[in-house]
Amino acid sequence: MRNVRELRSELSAIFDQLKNGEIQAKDAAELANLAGKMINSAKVQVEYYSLRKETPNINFLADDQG
Amino acid sequence: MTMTFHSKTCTKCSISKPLTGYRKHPDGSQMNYCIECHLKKRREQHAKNKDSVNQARRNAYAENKNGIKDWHLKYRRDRYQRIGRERLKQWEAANKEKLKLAHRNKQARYREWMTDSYIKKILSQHNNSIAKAEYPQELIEVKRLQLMIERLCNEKRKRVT
Repeated sequence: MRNVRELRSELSAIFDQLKNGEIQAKDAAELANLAGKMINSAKVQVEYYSLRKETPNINFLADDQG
Repeated sequence: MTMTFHSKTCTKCSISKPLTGYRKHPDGSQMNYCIECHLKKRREQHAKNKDSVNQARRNAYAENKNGIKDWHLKYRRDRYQRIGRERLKQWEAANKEKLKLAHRNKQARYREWMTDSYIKKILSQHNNSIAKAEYPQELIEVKRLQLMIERLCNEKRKRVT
């Protein structure tokens, strides 16, 4: 997962699988936890730029692929 | 109009159809047109009035872009004008429990609906230094998905135990 778009599509796939019973709740929870870590790291970056009053340039949150 | 216990004749196409082939009016009574004729009529009406209806809706939207938010704001301002600051403060002091309960219910609704403001609140839980509005929308979306998965997991676990 290179960026937030891929993470979102991955999470929505996990949600569908969990809903349909194709994946165990335990596994889904672990994946959601991992996603939470990635979200938190991106969040810290956003907060860092915000504190420095700079325009954020975060690859993970950028729209373009890569 | 001929009518048997289980079927009814459409007044438009004159075909006898079971009652399940008819829609109901808002008052609960069966329509006289069957579903097909009813939909055909609705489509014709729509094609005929499309432009005027769309224009009326566009005008209404332009007049009130924020929807119900503006109505609520206007209500609050009118009330403030009508009652006055002192009386509002008195009422709030006398009804602290009521206000607390209303606030709690509002937060519960936000939690259930997973509104953007609720997600922003979670993101900024341990950090008051960043304005909530500064979180990018993409981050809010993925956080919402993550919370949805966690909630579904918890539900499934509860069902098992």
